Amino acid sequence: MGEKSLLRAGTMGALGFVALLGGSLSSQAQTPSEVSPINPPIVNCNSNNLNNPDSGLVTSVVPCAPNFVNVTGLDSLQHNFDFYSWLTFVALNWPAEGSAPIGKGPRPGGDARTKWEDVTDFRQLSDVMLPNGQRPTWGARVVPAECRSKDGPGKMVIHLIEEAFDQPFRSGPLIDQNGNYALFDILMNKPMFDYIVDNTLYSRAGQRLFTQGRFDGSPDAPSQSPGVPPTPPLGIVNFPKGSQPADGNPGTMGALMLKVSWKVLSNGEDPARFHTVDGLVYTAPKNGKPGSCVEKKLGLVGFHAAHKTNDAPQWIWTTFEHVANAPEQQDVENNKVAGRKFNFYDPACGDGKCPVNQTPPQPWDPQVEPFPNGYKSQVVRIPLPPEVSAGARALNDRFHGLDGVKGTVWQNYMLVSTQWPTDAANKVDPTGVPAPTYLANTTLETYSQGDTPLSSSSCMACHNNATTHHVPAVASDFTFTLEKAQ
Amino acid sequence: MTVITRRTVLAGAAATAVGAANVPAPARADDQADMDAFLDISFALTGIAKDKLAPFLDPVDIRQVYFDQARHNPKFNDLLKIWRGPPQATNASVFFDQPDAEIRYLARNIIIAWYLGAWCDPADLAANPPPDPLPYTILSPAAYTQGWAWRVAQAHPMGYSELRFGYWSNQPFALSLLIGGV
Amino acid sequence: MCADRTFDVVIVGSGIAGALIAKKLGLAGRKVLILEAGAKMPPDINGYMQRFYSSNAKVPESPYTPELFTEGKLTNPGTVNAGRPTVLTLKPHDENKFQFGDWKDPNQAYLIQKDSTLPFASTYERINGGTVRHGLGTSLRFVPKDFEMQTRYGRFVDWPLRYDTGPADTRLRGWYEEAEKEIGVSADVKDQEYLGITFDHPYPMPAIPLSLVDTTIAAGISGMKRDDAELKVRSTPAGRNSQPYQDRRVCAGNTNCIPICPIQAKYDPSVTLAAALRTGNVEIWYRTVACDVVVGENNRVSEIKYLQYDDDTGPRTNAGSVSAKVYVVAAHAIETPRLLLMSMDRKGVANSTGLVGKNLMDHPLYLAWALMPEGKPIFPYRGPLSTAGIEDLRDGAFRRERAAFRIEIGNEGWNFPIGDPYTTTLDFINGLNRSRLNDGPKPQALFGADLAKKLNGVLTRQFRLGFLVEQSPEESNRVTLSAEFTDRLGLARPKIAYNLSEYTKKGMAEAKAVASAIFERLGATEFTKEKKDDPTQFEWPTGSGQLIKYYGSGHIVGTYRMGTDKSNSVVNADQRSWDHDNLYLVGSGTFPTVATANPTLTLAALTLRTAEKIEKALN
Repeated sequence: MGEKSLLRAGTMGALGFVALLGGSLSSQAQTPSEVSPINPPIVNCNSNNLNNPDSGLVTSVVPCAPNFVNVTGLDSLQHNFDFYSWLTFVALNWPAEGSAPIGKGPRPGGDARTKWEDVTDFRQLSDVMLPNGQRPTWGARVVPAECRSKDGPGKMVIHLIEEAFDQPFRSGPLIDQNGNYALFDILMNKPMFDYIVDNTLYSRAGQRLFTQGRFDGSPDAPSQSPGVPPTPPLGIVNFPKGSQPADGNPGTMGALMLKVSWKVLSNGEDPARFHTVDGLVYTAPKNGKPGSCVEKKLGLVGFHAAHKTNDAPQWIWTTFEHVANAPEQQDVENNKVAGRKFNFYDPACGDGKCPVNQTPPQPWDPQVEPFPNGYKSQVVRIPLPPEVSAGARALNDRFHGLDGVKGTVWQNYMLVSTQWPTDAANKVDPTGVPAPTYLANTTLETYSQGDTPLSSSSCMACHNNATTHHVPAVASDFTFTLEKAQ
Repeated sequence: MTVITRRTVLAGAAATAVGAANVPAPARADDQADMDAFLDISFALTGIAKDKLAPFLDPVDIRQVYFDQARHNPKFNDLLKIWRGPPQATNASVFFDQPDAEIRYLARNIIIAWYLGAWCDPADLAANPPPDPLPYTILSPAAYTQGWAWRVAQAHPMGYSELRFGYWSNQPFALSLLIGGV
Repeated sequence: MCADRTFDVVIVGSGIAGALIAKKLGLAGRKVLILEAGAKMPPDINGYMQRFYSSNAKVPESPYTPELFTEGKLTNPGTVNAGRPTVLTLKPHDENKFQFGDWKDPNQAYLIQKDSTLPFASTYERINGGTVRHGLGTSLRFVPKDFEMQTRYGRFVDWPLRYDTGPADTRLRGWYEEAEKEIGVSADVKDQEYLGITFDHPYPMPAIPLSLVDTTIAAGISGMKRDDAELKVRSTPAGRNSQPYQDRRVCAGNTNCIPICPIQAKYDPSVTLAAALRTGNVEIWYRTVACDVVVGENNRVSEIKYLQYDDDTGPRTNAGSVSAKVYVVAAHAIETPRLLLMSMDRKGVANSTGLVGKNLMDHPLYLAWALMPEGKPIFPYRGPLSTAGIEDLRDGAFRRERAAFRIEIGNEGWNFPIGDPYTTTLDFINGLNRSRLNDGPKPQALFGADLAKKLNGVLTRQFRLGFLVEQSPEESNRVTLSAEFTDRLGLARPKIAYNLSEYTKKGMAEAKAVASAIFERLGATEFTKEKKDDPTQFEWPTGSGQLIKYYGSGHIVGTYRMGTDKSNSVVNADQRSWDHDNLYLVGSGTFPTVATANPTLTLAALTLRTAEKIEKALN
């Protein structure tokens, strides 16, 4: 049958990840280079794989794409992706400044401001999709006037837009044990940002220009003539891809976007248990009400990373959570939660007083805190298939034992799972048949956990429907950021 | 090549399945051969390429639901015996050219499972005439979304589309792309 | 009994009309309470989708509670606290194991139709968001002459409102625009300027692209005329996103609008309900069934009494009453008259004319289906359930003599008429011929590539047309209270008397002729066929032995009509009761005639206008 253990080589081509399985690969087409002016060459991509010793795993190098070994089927591929997710999480959370490695920073628990919080590495959505469709600039920190008096080194402005306190499609906010709203933020890396700017996708007018030729974008555009097939669009949104070096080409990073969730840390809450940031929560002026800026000490509770690679043009979807967010459903059912402390669950609240995974009563107004009537969300994790969660758990144990993670704030974070396309080259399913089929983060998709087709959370199934804002809808390559253009 | 399958929450949740409710989890080694045979039989019965029915990397794993449903039927082993011969069958006509009616109905139910995500009561299939309309039970939401009848129609199950805005203005995928060489 | 709490406005019903009023008044700072008979808005639609995916009979009611089936049989409506009808009772009665399909059996059918000539075939929901939850999303305006049937055609009555003529306050065009913004309607003005319809502003979103079914039919009927009208296939305006709108995704063509969009790209009133709640001024009490509209001093409503329950089939848990300055009943066109008639110990409320419950109308739907010729697939089961229609026959001189209709082009093959692809697939696997596609000396039982090829060959050629026929208002078509049968709360169930007039039947007959003419023009083979003993059909012409079958469109209309005068109507143009100053009755029940457009957009326009009137009245 041939060698079972395979090193990463070549493009997936028509066979997808199946090409990695079993015997030696027959001669493959040359992997095309993904290098472009906005996707610069990277010579030292993270080359770690599952077989590498523990000592070299904690590094600041974000993987350009996963490296695969020991591939025999679905579970082993899942394990490779989960491994890649941990490498990515560690590298993105590396300290932004100074020479100390991760876990040895100046803040409690060895914490430090992270690379993804630095404007030279990632840009927040609110600073990309600007009012009046203005062109955004990379690298400049934008501090609204109302926040300037409170600003200081290491602080992070968070715009309190709808998406910052209300989960996607207005599915509801998440309220912590102190009655505070969890806050959400979206960020993107430079290749993704540059693609948006170069293709004028940062404004509605620009999006119209980009897709001109298909529809002219005005609301009175004539409908299609009967019998005449529609013209294919001129502009197809296609973000740059990450790739490992191969066939003599250097690697590339490609587009990487993040969605993070924070909870407000109260006095008395141990900051060493959370990666923290000093947040400046900014509310823009609206309907005659003046703008405001409130300082809040925030603890990271959820972390999504989506990375587009040449093997996974449907992107790779990684999600991490704080270890104490919510109990597992089976633990609740087996009465194993008494006395434990959770970020979004109260074991002492029983018998219908705190209905599980229900949205808070309306109205939802983040300016009113604590949430009226002592309300707190009561969140329970709906389980993933046992093989999936077991695989993630094994890697969590491994990385929690590594220097830089062990005994630091970062030991409080766990991988939930990674969703990836099992058949990226599938010609009839643009989602590429994701595995696992469903995936949710209890802080970011609290209310759509489950396994019901289409209505339960699946990164790819949902993002598959993402479009630009206008024109009518043109697929936006799995990101909802473009529909926020003004 | 060994096919590695995986029970998912979906496959396990076929609680509404007629008769499959208490099927125990398979012991892997023994059942692998039966699963392989079941897939060969399924291809022969449905005309849908085996790698479409059961891709090597198969997160949905609907084959397990149908396999469990089928082997709950008392005639399942006989079905396998006929297929395995000797001589090894290559065509599903072996099921329909033999005298045991219950095997014929089981074979038909297997087609119904793959095409419609449903199962009929063999007594209804055997009735003369069968009830009108012919009653069936949807095995699970996942099974409904995996139905091949819709793909054979070059479409998708109503309520479950993987495609994007505007696709309906364009020509559908070719049949061969959807179900394999026909 | 003393009133428990006081609000500015109490609304009975959280469907689209109730939700719109609550939102508008909530935004204006008014304190609003909605009493909703059915279940609470869930945090996600997982439960509805699970129920839907698992249903064998994917009827419009199938995702929603209360449960249609109990232990394999249709739930007995007498055991349910807030019951509702289901189309599953409308089958030809037969002795097979399913044991349902008797529209006259009160143990299966919520509506008591024992004495009805023909079955009333439409259903509605009693749940958060109401019936529009299971609607198609079609958002058509009336044509101007629809409002003037009496003036133009000597038939029925004129509305007390007009499209874009007459005194400014009585014109609905601007309100249609408001409604289209609230719902989020996709269409292009250029396609919609027919039969006198005019526009002031563009639609909120561009039209949804046409399907291959639409473009094939359009090409085939090019140049076709009927009654001096040239038939054109036109995109149908719909509450369905063609762009991200209201933080909802664009349509992905799940072909499931009825009964539920899996991604909420189709508008449903939970969107408006959520917006209403967001104002902080609106409360909703679920599982709360209004049972008595109490009239006190000065003939004004003084309170509304209600009953509450926890479990759909469990005991009553509470009784109470609420007071407000203004009361709105928005319980749709069967439950609203039911409530009014049962109020004040069955003396009735808002009914000095005796018209409450009368003039019950639907759009009896004529369904025709056909098969394109071999080699000419039309590729159904793709896209929204319907993206286009033929609207040119919605008006004309013929309305003096017979009903008008609109033609809805279906994208879902033969799913509606015969439950395909299930029926045809089961036919070719089992050697049956229920679809009539497996004809020949002996029906084939196929397998393997033969089966796949055969099914591909037939399924890809299926299509259907639905004709929504304007039913005439007849006082004999009415909702009353059953003397015998109640629900679990002990409230009298609605009793229905229903029939189709000659005017309506002639419209159905013309629909049948037009269907066949279109099929012939396309070279398609017609497969429309009635079933023996089907209760929802009538003989036409009389004595001929030929049958015409009708379906319900889910459009329930007319039972508390609006008019110009307190002697000839229940409410005025503002939808305010003539009898009780502080009582408004909204929803499609106020329509004096049903015309041919799906009622949702018009009722939404009327509701928004009424919301403004109520706000003024509260000042």
